[in-house]
Amino acid sequence: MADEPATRETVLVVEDDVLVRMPIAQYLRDCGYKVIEAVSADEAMTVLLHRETVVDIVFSDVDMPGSTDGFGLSKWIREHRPGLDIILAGTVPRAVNAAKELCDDGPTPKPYEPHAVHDHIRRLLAARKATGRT
Amino acid sequence: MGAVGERPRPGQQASAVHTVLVVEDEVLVRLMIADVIRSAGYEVIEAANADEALEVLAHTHGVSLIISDIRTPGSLDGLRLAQLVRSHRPAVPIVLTSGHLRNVDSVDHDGFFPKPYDARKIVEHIEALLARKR
Repeated sequence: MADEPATRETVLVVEDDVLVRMPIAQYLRDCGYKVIEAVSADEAMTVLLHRETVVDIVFSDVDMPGSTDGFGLSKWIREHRPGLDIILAGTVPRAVNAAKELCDDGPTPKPYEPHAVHDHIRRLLAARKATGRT
Repeated sequence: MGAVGERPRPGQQASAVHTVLVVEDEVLVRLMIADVIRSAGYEVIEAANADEALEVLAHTHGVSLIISDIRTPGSLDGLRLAQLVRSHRPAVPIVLTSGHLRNVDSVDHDGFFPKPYDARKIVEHIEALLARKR
């Protein structure tokens, strides 16, 4: 704990595909952020309404199941949490690049190669496709 | 949330190599238990249901222990997940939690915690289970 940055920003990652969410969340943790994971906009709103949970940045997929998608979440945040930064990343490459930009500015900037993260996610998704899971 | 901020303890480096897969559909409960386990020095992968847990297990090889809620949405519940883990990953301990059942004697498992549980007790249980594996 002693070597953690004093101000550790919290990123709320909203992504319904575990094989994408898992590496992105780990990537951001490695850059020094505290990361909260949500699998839908509904879960994200539950987190954001929870008074004890501090969130500095929302990092969200666009196309998600549930009562609303990433655009709806963005609109909800503008109304209920104005001033909270939201990053919408509609595709895996955009998500990886947005994560890299966060890492560049993060508490523990690391020279991560976004292509490596993207390749890792691509391999996970390809392996799932090969095993017939959708 | 995250009441166990005192951890990790000095000299607990060995636990850092262990990865705990948390399966919980209630986002605030998942956030709390994942936070406490991470604070104890473990890597944590978060899954919102048993289907996601199977995805993680199919595509990663580093999961040391699973903690799963029993009643989760999706094609299978925590009890079925426990049976599959026993069959296909017999070396991986699985600890079950539930807010509805008071015992889960119908399936083989490595511990059961009725909700609401004390997350610190779960961490102590994890430490004991993983110590046996070393």
